[in-house]
Amino acid sequence: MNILLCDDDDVLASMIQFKLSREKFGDVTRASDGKMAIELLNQRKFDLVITDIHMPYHSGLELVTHIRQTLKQSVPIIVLSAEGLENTVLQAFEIGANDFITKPFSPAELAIRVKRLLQK
Amino acid sequence: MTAFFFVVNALITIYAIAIASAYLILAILSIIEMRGYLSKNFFIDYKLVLSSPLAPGISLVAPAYNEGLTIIDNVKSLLSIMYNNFEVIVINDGSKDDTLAKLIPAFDLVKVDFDLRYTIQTKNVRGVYKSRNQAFRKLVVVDKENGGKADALNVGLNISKKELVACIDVDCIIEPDALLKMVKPFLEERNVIASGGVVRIANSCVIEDGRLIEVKLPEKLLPRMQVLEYIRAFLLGRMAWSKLNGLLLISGAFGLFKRDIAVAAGGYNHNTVGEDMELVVRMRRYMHEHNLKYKVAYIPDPLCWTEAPSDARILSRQRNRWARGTFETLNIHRKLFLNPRYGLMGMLSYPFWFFFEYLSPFIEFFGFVYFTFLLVTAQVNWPFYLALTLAVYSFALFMSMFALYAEETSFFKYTQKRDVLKMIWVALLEPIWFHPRVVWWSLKGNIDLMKGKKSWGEMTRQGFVQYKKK
Amino acid sequence: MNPAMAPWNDPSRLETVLDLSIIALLGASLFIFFLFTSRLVKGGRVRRKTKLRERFQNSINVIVELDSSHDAKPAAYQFHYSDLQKDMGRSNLAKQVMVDQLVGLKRNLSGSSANTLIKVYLRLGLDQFSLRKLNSYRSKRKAQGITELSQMEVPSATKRIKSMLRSSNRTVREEALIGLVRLDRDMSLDFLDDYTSRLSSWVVMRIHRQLSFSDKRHLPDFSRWYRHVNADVVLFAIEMTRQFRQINNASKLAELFNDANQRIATLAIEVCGDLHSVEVADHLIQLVKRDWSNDIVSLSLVKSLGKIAQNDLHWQALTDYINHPNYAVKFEAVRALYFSEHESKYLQRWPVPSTPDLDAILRHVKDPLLQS
Repeated sequence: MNILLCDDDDVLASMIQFKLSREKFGDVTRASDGKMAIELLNQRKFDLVITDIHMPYHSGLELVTHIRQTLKQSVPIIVLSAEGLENTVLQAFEIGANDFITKPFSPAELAIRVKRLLQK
Repeated sequence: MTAFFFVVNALITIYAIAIASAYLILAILSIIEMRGYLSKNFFIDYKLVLSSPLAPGISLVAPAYNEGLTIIDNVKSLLSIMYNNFEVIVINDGSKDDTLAKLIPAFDLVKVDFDLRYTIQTKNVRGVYKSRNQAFRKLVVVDKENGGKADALNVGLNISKKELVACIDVDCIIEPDALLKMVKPFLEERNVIASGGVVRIANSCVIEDGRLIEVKLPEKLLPRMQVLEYIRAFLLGRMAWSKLNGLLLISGAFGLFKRDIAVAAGGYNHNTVGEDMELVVRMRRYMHEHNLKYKVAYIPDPLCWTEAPSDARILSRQRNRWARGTFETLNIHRKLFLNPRYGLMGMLSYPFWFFFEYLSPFIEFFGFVYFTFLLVTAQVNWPFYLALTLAVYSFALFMSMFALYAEETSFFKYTQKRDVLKMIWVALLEPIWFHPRVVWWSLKGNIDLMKGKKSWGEMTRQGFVQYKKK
Repeated sequence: MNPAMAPWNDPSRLETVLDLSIIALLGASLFIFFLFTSRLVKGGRVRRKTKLRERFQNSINVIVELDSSHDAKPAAYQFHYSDLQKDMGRSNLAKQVMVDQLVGLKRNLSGSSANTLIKVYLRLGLDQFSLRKLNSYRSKRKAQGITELSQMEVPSATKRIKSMLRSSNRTVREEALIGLVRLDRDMSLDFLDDYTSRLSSWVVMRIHRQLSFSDKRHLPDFSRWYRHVNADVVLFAIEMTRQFRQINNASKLAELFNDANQRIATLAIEVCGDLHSVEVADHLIQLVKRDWSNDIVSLSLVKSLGKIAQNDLHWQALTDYINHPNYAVKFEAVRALYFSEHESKYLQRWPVPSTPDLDAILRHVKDPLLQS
């Protein structure tokens, strides 16, 4: 399994990567900004994408739109963001995200949601 | 004759000492204010503003004239700015090219029944458009008869229903967190009426899809000179004025205003080419005349990147226009001069702008001609003439280095080691190769003004497209 | 040579000018020197910080993972603690990097992982490191200490932080305020009772965000501060009533409709509308005529009435607002009437012939793409 993690917070990303690999979900590739994320998505297929919203160059919501509309992929997407405004959450689901987790979050909970989506 | 020499010498000496001291004081005040700003904002998580339902609404008004080449990228980049409660109002100011024709299909626009109130009188609006695509619901496009930048901005003021209005140049690259930073002064204090940001030079920077990817020092010398100029003006000048609450000028490229004050003050004046400065002065006057406490704030963070003229011809037109704009604004508001009713603005800011910003090209030019005349007629000897030239040069160099040091210890945008050397070289050259030409262009601007020249002149749009990363 | 020019050829004047030039040139050189050294120092610091961060990260990840998973024995990750202790040493830079890392992570994590981070912070003695900052004369350090202690939920720091509410430095005051909200386990917000300084919108936003992380049922009843002497605190309380939907306070808000402070009165009116507090509609009607000439209050009234109008009297008031001189008020009235069930009944009472501007407003309101 290949998971793509898009977050510009190095420390947090490192922890998430650690957690996910301990759960033996597979390889976790990290993109530290929107540009890198889009490049990686254009290069290969992933089994799951976890993305923050506010990142340099392209936002997570743009990423979701890119995956669903441009690449036309149905890969499961979890949006993980500090922004919990109702409009944003709704928008994320409208454009095709499968799940939305607001920060602060529990890594254990994230792991369970990842597991659930990977199993589908 | 003796009296003439005596008086002129005395006046020039006084002026020189006054302007040098003024710039030094401003520089020191700026540094202090900068340190305060940086230390205060150490604790700020700007993203907090993003996710708060309490953040004030902002309308981003961007007039566009013949921007067909880059308009789609520019609008997309504006729509991706990090803020929640905002709308982007693009005003097509009667473009002769395909600006509107490109926008309509790209954003799936349709005409809507917007009830437009001409609260501020403007040229006719032909249509208001909104997108059928939910992804672009923050976009409003207005098509109107050509009326100039000020007129277009006024249409934006009329259309906006939000609390704050940001007026920007559509081809300016705005940093994603710019609005978050610009809105903060309004949140910290209740009586802020306007905030201005720093404009940085985008030449040679890597831009993709209307986004700034990498900051680089311009390759050509002329834009590099302007980088130095801008750093000096913004970091060593405007911060001090902001601290004193005497800031008269907010860059036309990026300013955030309280909408109702801007409208109450009458909106932008389309009879001047310096409409950005003029509006700020007028808003301040409005507050003074209504006995309302207020503040004009300034954000030193680089928030906006723009293309600087890289060609002397275009640069000369720009400086010509700035000179005319400064005069027009000072003239319209001459009532402020040393008028205690207008507080610091009348007693300090306005006189400063008049004597040290507006008059300085005249006095510099006159001073140069005068001393050369004295030299040629053997009224002064060579050593003195050279020493004087050296003194002027050294002071200019001192201020430039001060500015570069301020930049280094604050925003540190030019991170390549070689950049430091390049900028030092620019600072060494500037007083000889660049500044005299700027003085000349300012003078010419004033001459043109007296001849009655009114227009902006053609500013050829080169677009950012050439700077794609290989 | 003209006699007036003689002093200008005087060698002493020449010397003065040269001296000034030399001073300026020296100054310029100093700046160049500082420029280079600052860059070197900065570069070095950044490299050291990055190395430290990478070294700490792995141990922190392991500790958090194993500690919060409950099935790992403490001994399994004990040596990670000693590793961290060793790497940190006595260096203040290292301690700061560690604290920043822990605080940064804690901001993003909740539950058992967050608790583990606190354990790490305390076990490494970093609370002492943060506490010492409270004694600093530099406000930035003080504020930093407050942030760290409150983020890592050190209750023993509460008293010290509370005393800083009266600091002369604004940043310290604000951090202290937010810090107290974070540390306030029972969410009583007692410290607001005698808070007399300014509460800027910025601070209100931060407090709101902090409060929104907690269980809504444990939030205080904000009506407690509706009669506070500090207008900023009153406004804060009314706004929080709106954000956390304390609909039971509607009647208490109605008492503020007549407050001498216009900002308080208008906010109270607006919030009642947002909370759909139909029980105050009659109160609002009484204000319509009284405040007709006040555009700001009228706008709040029409917006609120539009949301809670219940009977003929209320709808009549809204219809009256169609004739209000202020455009924004007219607009809101038309919008409210259009979206009500009573549209046909009341819109027919418009002046005949219907004026072009009312028609224009109606067209605007009806346009599906112009719904805000």
